[in-house]
Parts: sequence; structure tokens; C-alpha cells
Amino acid sequence: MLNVDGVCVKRGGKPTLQGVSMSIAPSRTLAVVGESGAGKSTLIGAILGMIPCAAGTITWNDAPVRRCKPALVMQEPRSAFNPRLCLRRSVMEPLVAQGIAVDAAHLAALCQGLEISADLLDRRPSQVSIGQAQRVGILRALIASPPLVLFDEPLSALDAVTQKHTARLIADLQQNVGFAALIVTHDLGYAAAFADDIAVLRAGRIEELTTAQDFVTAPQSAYGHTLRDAAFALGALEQVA
Amino acid sequence: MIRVLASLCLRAVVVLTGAALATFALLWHAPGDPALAIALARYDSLVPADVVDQIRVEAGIDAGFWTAFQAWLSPLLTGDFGQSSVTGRDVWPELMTALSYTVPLALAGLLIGITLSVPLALLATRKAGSWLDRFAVGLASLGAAIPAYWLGLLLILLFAVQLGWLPAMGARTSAHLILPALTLGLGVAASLTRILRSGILEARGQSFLPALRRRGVAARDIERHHVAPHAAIPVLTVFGLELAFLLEGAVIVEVIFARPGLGSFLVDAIEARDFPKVQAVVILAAVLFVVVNLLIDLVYRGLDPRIGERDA
Repeated sequence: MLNVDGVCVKRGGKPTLQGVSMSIAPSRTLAVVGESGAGKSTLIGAILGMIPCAAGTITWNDAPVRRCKPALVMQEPRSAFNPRLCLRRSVMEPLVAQGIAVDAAHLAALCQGLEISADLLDRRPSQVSIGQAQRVGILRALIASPPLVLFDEPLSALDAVTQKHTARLIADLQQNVGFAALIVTHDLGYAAAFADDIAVLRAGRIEELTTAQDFVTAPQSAYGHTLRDAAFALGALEQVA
Repeated sequence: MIRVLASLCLRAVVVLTGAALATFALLWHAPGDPALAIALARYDSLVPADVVDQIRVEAGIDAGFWTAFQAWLSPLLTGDFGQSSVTGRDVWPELMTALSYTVPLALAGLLIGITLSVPLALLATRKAGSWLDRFAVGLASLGAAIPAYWLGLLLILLFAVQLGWLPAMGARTSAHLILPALTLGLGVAASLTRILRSGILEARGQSFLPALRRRGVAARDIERHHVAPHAAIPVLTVFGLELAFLLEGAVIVEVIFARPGLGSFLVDAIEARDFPKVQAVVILAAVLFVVVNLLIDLVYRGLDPRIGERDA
């Protein structure tokens, strides 16, 4: 289980995360929502160990989180790959570099789950659509079977139809594989439909942390209310409600 | 691949024809009577008008521009550079003699340039913005700002006149090559260092590199497989341009250090309006550029397959 306990981060002398605490159990999904600059990406950086914490601890099963080698799915799928190499090489390179044997059955199962054909992997990033690149990005994140996967706005670069399809694929894979997922997103509709819990982050602080259902029906904080009402006004939460 | 090669070769033919035509036209339309200039160079004194007329016929000058151009171009297609209008001797052996001085100078300059620029750029990029980086950038800017003729004179003053360590003029021994090669090489090192440094820094800023580091790919593998190919592309481009600098620089440096070579060969030929000699140098330089750029174009495609993708 991921445990984030009282994490504070300062960047350029200014606090960007202040006493952030949360936990995610295996097979569960926590969506972190909030406006731009709230500290969502900083939280991902802190969990990955790319941004040092001024205070607090981040652990996976009581050990430093980096030991579980969390994976990250980035917002811009094409820029996550070397444009000169075929996608297969980009997917396999980290495994090859660490001397990890590629389990062909595991790869085939993931490819099937993500609807990735063999010839797609032999193309370069510029030769596939953004949706296909994002699916390969998810494949690369899951190929080493990490227990924790962080998604940084995984759908924001995709069109509405592809968003819905990709969100479904991620949810199905999580059910089959059982990883814990932390999703940073602006899309409250996606968060409410696919996450188990929702954390509202504002100015580096957790405003509220509740189940997705409770967030849609009765947000606990005033800011949560504002976010929820705005999402309703835009029609993003209608289906979930 | 065959289509790409054919397209590159076609481009090469256009460039070579253009270079040949442009040079011929420039010499043809230069002020003064070309026949008189050849006569003066040949006999080193004023000659009667009938001799000048005879030269005009011999050199094909009386036949008109296109006929003269065609008469020169046709044997060239079979590799015959013709005979000097002044001496009447074959141009090719004289050109080879000149090249036997210029090529070692250009290669030594290139070697010095690469030997200095690669370690300097690698040191500078170890920590961008550090004193070492600023020192390297400053040194490279200084090297690029100093013209070859001035640097050459400074080196002569220091190493030949003041210290007396090295010879200043001529080309008798290998020691005579050191100062001219240094003059040429320092200029090459300056521009290569700057482009290598910025290429490496840009390559290290690629958005997918943090993900590779996080996934446990070793720093050395990242440098070798992801940074170096990206940084090599601008370096190769500049390398192709450096060739122009090397040839042009070698000609200037040869004059400063009173070395025989392509510089004196070309200057003498232009003064005497020795069309076949001037054309031989231009064609040789154009062929060299075209071949090097063709090779660079092919290497680009190996480093970045997207280049071939765009052409397909």
C-alpha cells in the first residue's frame, strides 16, 4: 500500500505541498483533482523521488517508495518516446538495460488488453496516433509489473471517444493486473467514473479526500462544492450522477 | 533507398553544373581582355596584337561564351581538365602537386580542430553554466572572432620570431606544417566546440530522458544511444560547412605562411585568366562538397530515420 504521510515540498523557497497525506491500496485508484498550480504534478514528482520532500514520508508497504519502482504514464504520449526509435525498442529498453527477461506471455496479454497490434510496436512515435502512443505508454509503464502506477493527465491529449476508450482499457487492466493507481487529472467526470477515491488539492493542501460517490453527491469542502458544481454545469458529471 | 540515392545524385549533378557555369561566366565577364591577360602571363611582357589574337583563337575566346564553355566542358566529362592557357602543360598534374601541399594542411587543421573541440565540449557540458563551461564558451567565441590571417601572424611572431621554436615560411619539412595547421585548426576548434556544446545540451534536455533514467537505464547507455545521435546531427551539418572553411582557410593560410599549394595555384591562375586551371579548382572543390554533403545526408538518415520518412 502507498502511504503519503505529511509531505511538504518547497520549490524556490515557496511551499508547493503542505502536509499532504493519503494512501492507496493495491487494485484501488485515487484521483487527485484541483486547479492548475495546485501541486498535483509536484505530488507525482515527490512520489517518484524526482522532487525532494522537505518533510514527511512516502512509503510502499513501509519501505521507501522508490524500491517498488513506480511507473509513470505521461500527459504527452509522443514526447515520452525517443522519436528516432521504434516503439518496441522504447518499451523494451528499460527491461533490457536492467537484465530483466521479457515475459512473452505477459507482453502478449498486455498488448491484447491495450489493443496494441505487433506491427504498431514496430512503428516510430510519429507514425502512430496520439491515442495509440498513449496506449503504448501504458504498456511501457506496465511491462515490468509495477505495483504502483502514476498517471499524469493520461487522457488530456486525446479526443473524447479515445479518452473514454482508453479510460476503460486502463480500468480493465487494473482489474486484471491489480496495480494501485494514482491519477492526476482535471477531468472530474473521468475521476468520478473510474476512481475509487478523490482527493481535492488546492494551493498544496488536501481540501478533502473522500470516495468518488460521496464527492459527486455531497462534497465536504466549499472548494469541492465549487469544483463539483462547475463540472455539473459543463455536463461532465451527468452520467456519473 | 535507390530512389533517395538517385535524387541525391541528381541534385549533385545540378550543383556541379551550376558551379561550373557560374565560374566560367564570372571569369568570362571579368573586366579586361582575357587574351591579353594570358599573353602577359605567358610572355611576361607586352606582346604584339597579332599574338594576342592568336591566343584568343587558341583559347577559344573568339568563339563566343557558349561554344567556349562547351569546348571546356566536353573533355571534362571524361576526366580531362585540359591544358593551361599560359604554360600549355596539363592542368591535372599541376593540380595534384598543389593538392599534395594543401590536403595535409587541411587534414592536420581538421585533426587539431576535432582533438581540441571534443574534450572541451564534453568538459563544458558536464555542468552547464559552471566556470568551466563559461571558460569553454569564452575560448570558443574568441577563437571564432579572430580571423585566420591575424592569428597566423600572431603565431609567427610568438613561435618563430620571439621563441624561435618553429619555422615561419615555406613547406620543406614537417615542422613547417605546425604553425599553419594550428592557425587553421584553432578556427575549426572554435566553431566545432560551440556547436558540439549546444548540441549535447539540447540532446540532454529531450523530454523522454527522465523516464529512461527513472526506469533504470544506465547514464552511459543514455548518452550513447539517445544523446549522442541527437547531438551528432547539428555537428555533422557544421562539419559539412567546415569543409568550406578548411579550403578557404587553407588558401589564406598558405599565403600567410608562403606555402605552395592550392592557394598560390588559384591566385596565379586567376591573375593570368588561366580558365582551365581556375575551372579545375572550382570543379574539384564542388565535387568535394557534393560528395561530403551526400555522405552527410546518408549518415543523417542512419541517425534519424524520420529524415528518410519525410522524403518518402
